[in-house]
Amino acid sequence: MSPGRVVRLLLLVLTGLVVAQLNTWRPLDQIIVGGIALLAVTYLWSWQSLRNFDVRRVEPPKRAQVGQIFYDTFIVNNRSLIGKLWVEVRDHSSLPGHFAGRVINIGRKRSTQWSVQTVCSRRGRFHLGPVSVRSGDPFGIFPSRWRDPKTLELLVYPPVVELPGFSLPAASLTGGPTVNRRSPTVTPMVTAIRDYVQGDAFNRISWTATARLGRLMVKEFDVDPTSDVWIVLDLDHTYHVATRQSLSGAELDGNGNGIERWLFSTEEYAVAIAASIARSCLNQGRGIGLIATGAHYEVVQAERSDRTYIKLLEALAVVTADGNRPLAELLVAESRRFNRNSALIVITPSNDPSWVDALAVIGARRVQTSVVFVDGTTFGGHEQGTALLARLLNARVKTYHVGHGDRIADALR
Amino acid sequence: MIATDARRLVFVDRRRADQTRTSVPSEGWLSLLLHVLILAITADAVVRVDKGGRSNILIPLAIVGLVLGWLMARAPGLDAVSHPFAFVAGTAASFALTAIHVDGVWTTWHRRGGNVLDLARTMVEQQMRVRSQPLSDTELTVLIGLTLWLVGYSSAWMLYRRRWLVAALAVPAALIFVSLRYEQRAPANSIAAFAVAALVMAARHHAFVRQLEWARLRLPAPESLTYRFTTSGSVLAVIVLLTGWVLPIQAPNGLVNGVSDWTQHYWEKAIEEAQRFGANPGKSAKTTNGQGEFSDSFVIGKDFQPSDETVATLNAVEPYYLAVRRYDVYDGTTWSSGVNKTFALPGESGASRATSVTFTSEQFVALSPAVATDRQREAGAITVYQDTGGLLFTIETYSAASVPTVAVIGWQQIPEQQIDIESVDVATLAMDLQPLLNDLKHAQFKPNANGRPDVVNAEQAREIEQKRAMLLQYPVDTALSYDANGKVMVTVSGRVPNYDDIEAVYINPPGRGATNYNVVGSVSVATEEELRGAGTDYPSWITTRYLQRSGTETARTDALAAQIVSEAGATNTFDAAWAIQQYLRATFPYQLNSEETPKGQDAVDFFLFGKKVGRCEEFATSMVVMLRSQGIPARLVSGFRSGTETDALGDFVYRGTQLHTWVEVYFPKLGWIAFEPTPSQPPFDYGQSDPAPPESTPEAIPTPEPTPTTAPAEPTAAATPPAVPPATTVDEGDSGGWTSTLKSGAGLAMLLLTGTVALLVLVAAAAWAWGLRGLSPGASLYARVIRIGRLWGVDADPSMTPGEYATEFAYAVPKAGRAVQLVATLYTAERYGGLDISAEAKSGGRQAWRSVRTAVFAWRPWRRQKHRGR
Repeated sequence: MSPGRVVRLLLLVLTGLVVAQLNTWRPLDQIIVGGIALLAVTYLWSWQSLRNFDVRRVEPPKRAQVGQIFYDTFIVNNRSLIGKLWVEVRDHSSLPGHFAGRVINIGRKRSTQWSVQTVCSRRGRFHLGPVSVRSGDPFGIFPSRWRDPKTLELLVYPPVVELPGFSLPAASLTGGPTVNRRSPTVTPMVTAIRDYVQGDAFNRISWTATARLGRLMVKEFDVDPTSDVWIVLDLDHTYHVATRQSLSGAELDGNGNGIERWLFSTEEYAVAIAASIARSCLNQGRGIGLIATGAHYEVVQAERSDRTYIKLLEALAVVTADGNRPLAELLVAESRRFNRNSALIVITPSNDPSWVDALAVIGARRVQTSVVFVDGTTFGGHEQGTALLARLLNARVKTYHVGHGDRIADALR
Repeated sequence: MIATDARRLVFVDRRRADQTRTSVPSEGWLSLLLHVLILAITADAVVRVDKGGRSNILIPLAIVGLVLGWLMARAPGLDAVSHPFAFVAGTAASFALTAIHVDGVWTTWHRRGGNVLDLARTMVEQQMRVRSQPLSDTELTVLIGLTLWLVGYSSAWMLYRRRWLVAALAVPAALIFVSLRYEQRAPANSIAAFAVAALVMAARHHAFVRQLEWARLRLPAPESLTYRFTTSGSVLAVIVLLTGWVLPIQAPNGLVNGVSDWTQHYWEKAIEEAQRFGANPGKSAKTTNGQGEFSDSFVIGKDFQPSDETVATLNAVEPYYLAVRRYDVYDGTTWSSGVNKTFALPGESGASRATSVTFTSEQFVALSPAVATDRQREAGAITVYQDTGGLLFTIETYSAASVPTVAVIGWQQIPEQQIDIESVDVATLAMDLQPLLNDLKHAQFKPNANGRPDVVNAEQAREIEQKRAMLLQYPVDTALSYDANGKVMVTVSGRVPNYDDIEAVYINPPGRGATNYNVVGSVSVATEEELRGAGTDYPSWITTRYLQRSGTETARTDALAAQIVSEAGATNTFDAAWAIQQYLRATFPYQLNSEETPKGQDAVDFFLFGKKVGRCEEFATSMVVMLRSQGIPARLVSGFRSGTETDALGDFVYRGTQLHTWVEVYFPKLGWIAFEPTPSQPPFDYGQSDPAPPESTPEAIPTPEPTPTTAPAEPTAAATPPAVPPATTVDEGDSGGWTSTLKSGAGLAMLLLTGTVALLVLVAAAAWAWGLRGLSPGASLYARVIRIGRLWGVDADPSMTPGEYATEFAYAVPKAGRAVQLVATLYTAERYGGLDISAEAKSGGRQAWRSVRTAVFAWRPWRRQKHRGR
């Protein structure tokens, strides 16, 4: 309680006592004394209501995925000799749908706990906590509260669906001479040895060959005979659309199917498709890279390890459609990354036909291209994508059309 | 398995949720029952004060008003519709139930309807013109019933619609406090019951408010919490109640009492100063010792508004007049006490206050045979609720009390006189001289060397010397001597208290708050025949104090008195007093407040020959002056007249409206006998030995013609007397209770109603402005919109954004939609965009606000329903 309020209360009590002494109507005296007693009793009640009481959150996992259940457990302990009539434990977490707070009534020297299961419905980075605790007297005259500012972080990955019918674009696989340059990747496939070049990692040195030849020799690794797949995720906010449809009743079946009903925007659909394609690529042993053009430019180099998959998910967990770079410009700018050994998948809701031309230029370089067009009109957008689809068809670009509510696995079949 | 019981994001349409109300009260049935109990207690408090037997109407009216308020608060109707409807319904219910109350339940509906219409027409017609008649009992029932109805309705509305718990309880609490101030016999039960019910309801309400917030925050809570709040609140309520009722309230130490006395001292000085400047020159205008209504002096006929509060109750065999003070000095406009003059010996100043005499509890005052004949003691238990400066209420002539007292008493001057010890009748001497004379009577003397008598017995001599020393303190000088015949004589001179002349009695020390004591009075049982035969052998102290004239009395007053006595054929004191009393009663009407006596004119003369109406003190003063003009000693008594009202314990209730003055006439040996010249009260009975003399009629003694005044009156006073009101006796308000106050006229009620409405408007305007103080332009506009929306049933949910609220507002009042949206946009830009919108607020914002106001007040319910139902 603030000092000013204490002073005001004391003045009120003193005034009441003086009035009780000076007035001659006994019932008024009784009411005044009773009122003072009420203030005293409720203040004591409120004062003890949060004493010897603590709330603890059991350390939860730091990662989750949309569709998964997140478990959050609280343990409260009342060490006081007096029970607590009501204690409001409120969790100020930012995880959507996560209402971990509770109002409890706890007896003396008792401890209790509760767990909250929350289905992660949105990807992103969220904080768990802080926790505020509130209590008071039965009349609400003197509220008491304290706050635990400690927070934890939870990263929720985007949803990933199986794409059994999705055929990855094939790229031209050609051999080539040994390249004297640093190899950023590690594979078990050693194809040759060569002279050491400054900057090569020591663990690449072939000590047997070095001993045999008398100079430093390093092992040369060769990539798999597969092409990398680059995913270009268009996050230009101009074309992304969100719907406000009610998600009431959106439940997953036992296999996690139906996650698409939680995807209420072209952005979420695009991110989920990107994550699903990445998973599918890795499952097929293809390297995968990502270019996302939000306000924060996100590039994940094409690799094919599980670590890459995690990096992709972490990147996709936080990207948002807040960019303002047109897809056509992006494709032109990043075209150097794509060669005939790689495949390009563009995921976009943009119905601006200009980017088709840029894509056609890339395709002319024998880069295998395909497009996943997330149709914004099905999310409430007004711009029709018919012309775009026609141009894609004319450009012989393989195109997948995805609308709101479509199952991704079916759409990418 | 994925999340079969998982929480989900659920967007709930708020309007749809509002429609899913059930018949169960939001706060639970127990809260409603507690609320009903609170209203019943309040109505009972009002009914108890009124004592009009209206409980079968008023309590149901209050409860039905509450239930109506509860129903309408839960309905989606608007304030602007609900309140007029409730007022009309309450008025109709009050009229209807009053008609049933008047005619009984078995009468026909047709007749009831006729009575309702007649009653309404009468009230309306009477309000259309200024009238001085009091409200009838039926009209009063309607007004009180409507008041209780509105209290119940507003209390329910504030709690169930606005969630204003304090306001919902404050209205009935204020009513119960005001009511119980009038009925102080057993208020604790009502207040205790009210306090407990209010606290339990407060606990339940707090639980409900918390649950609302928890639901909003999606915090699950145990279902038993409401029950636990209720039980905890009940326990705390009992603790608080016991503390308030059991704790010693009076401070046990002298420190706080000292503070109290110090405060009271300065408070009284402030009041005195205010009165000195003429702020309230009423009955207690010349308060000299802070005794309120019973001050040392008072001006006759000043405007006086008696309080209706209970002053005291008396448990006795009959409702005696309770005497408080006596006055002997009349100076033409003012009554005062001349007791100080009786104390002053020659050469002493008479300005000093008379030395008071202390009596222990249950110590009887020894009345002399000069006043004690044909008297018997009557006792009564008195409970005083209004502090009268420690003055004791006495039944006729004071005898004793169960508490220590201090009596302001007249003193008897004893000129130097020689008393023959052998032959003197000790009983005829002053009381304080009697012990000494008794000792002297039984003593033997021998002459000493100086030739003066000495007491032979040494023990007797010591006792006699002690008594002489005590008498010397008064002072009374005593000296023994021999006369020429050798008889032992005692020479006495000085002053002694005259126990037959008690002017006022104070409790010693004065108590605070309600004081209980028993008092014994010496009540005359002399018959009229005995009074007629009492003679005129008045003691000197009687003639000195109670026959004194002011010099302002006019000759026509004396002539009128002589004419009355002469025409009545009175040959003795009693008949003369009776004749004057009856003349005053029959000739002049009673009126509480009338024209004040012009400056320089004698109050009695102005009353008898000028305005010819007045209240008790003018009747009593006139009688005293007329009696004294005929050589009959008389004095004025102030106190409380008797009434018929009794409380629940059967004790007689004395209220401020029963403040009264009457006359006491001295009859030798029979003492002071009371007379009642005020026509609003019945005359006293004087025994049954002989039939009472026939009541004089106005025709028997004609009103005398005005005669020239000898007093320094205005020359025109007699020539152009002021207009005399019609000779109708106005009821003083015998019914008691606050009804008497209300009965002073429907105009007063209308005035009060108008004043209340004006006050409410002022308070509302102040509250409106107070809530907007310090707000930025955008916030001020938005706050205004929210307020006016709340009045029209568009509540701003805490979770709403300004834009959402604007949308909600537009649903309710489509015409205001665009303007409200503009206000919301301005507010959002200012609050969240950090923009300075002062210029926009002055132009477009204010215009938008005016549009909102216009659109809202042009609201039509059918249009609103149309949009609601989309």
